[in-house]
Amino acid sequence: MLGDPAAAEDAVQEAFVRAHRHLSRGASIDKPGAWLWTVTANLCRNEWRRRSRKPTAALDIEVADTTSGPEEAAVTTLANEYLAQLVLQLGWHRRAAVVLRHVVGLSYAEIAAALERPVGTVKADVHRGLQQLRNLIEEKGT
Amino acid sequence: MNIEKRLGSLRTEAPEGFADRVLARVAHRFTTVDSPLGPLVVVFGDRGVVSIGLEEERDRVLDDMERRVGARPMPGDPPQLMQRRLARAIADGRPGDLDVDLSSLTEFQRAVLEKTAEIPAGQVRPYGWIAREIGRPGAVRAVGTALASNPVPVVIPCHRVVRADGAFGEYSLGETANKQRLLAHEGLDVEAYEDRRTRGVRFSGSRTTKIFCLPTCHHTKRTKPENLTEFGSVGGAERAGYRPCRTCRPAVLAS
Repeated sequence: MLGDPAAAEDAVQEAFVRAHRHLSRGASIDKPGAWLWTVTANLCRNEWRRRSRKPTAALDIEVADTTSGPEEAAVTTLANEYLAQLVLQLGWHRRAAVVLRHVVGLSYAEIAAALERPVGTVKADVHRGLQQLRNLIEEKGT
Repeated sequence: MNIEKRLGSLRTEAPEGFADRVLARVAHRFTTVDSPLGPLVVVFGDRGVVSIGLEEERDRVLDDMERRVGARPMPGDPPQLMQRRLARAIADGRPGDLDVDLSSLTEFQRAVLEKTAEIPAGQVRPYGWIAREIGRPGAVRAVGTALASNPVPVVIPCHRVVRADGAFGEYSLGETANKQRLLAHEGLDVEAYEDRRTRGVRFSGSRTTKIFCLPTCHHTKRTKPENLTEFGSVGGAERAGYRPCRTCRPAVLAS
């Protein structure tokens, strides 16, 4: 969602830390999974906005090679990196919906809760996002 | 391969050490601070100080925290503001503006500790006084238990609470003598105190004002020695026509 594994980890870390603070204050969390996704998605969106405002740091998108896989996987890794670059070209709402649906594998209801948008809108975002990805791939001829 | 499947292959596991890094951020941390009793280990979290013990008993303090919250505190410096407030709280023997996290205690324990924090430096109050002040006059023994498990001694001055007969009693921070050591450091004349106690004196009064106090009340300190008188019981003082002091409240004020 951010195109930056370190920033992504920061966001998830922060979500867990907030959950811990929330719980240790004696408050309860009804659906911990959904709660974490909502907080993480919001943190990612904030971070994305922050980066977009500072273009120097922002669009220097690199898919870091944290996973130095075995040789035979190198081709897949390359294709994956390329795909990840394309995903980053989607607008925030479509990207978040596509990633949560097809990378993470959440249900539409879960995605709607995490992104705080109606289910119908989320479905449309996923659909249009995928269409846009297909177009991008065709354009560039994969 | 269709695009949905390819997207699915972008999914990765959490990076190595992720859980540890989260834990490092939520775990309590500990630092060492000087005190009149020598170095203390102070455990703190986001919401303030949670535990204080003698540095020489650090392992026991950390074991205890690990049992209570499931994670062992890690070494770390408190934020500067907390550091300043902590040093002052330990020097003054009261929390002041230092955040102390008592959220894991019962309401009764908190009430006992908050009342204890009101006792001025160099003065002492009996366990029964705390019980009465928090509206639980029968809970003297429970007050003793609550103070024995005071998680933040020195900062919450449980060393200023003594037995009904004036004896210093037990202290949770190292040896019993540490209680007197702290009080002496705060300006209590331990020798004079012990002398009064062994003579059976429980209250002191002023002949000019006809008010009686607990012997360590600061009003007693201001009374001229020639005007000072002593009592062994509340009854004795009241029969002599003295009324209890409004500051140290040695007995319930007759309305």
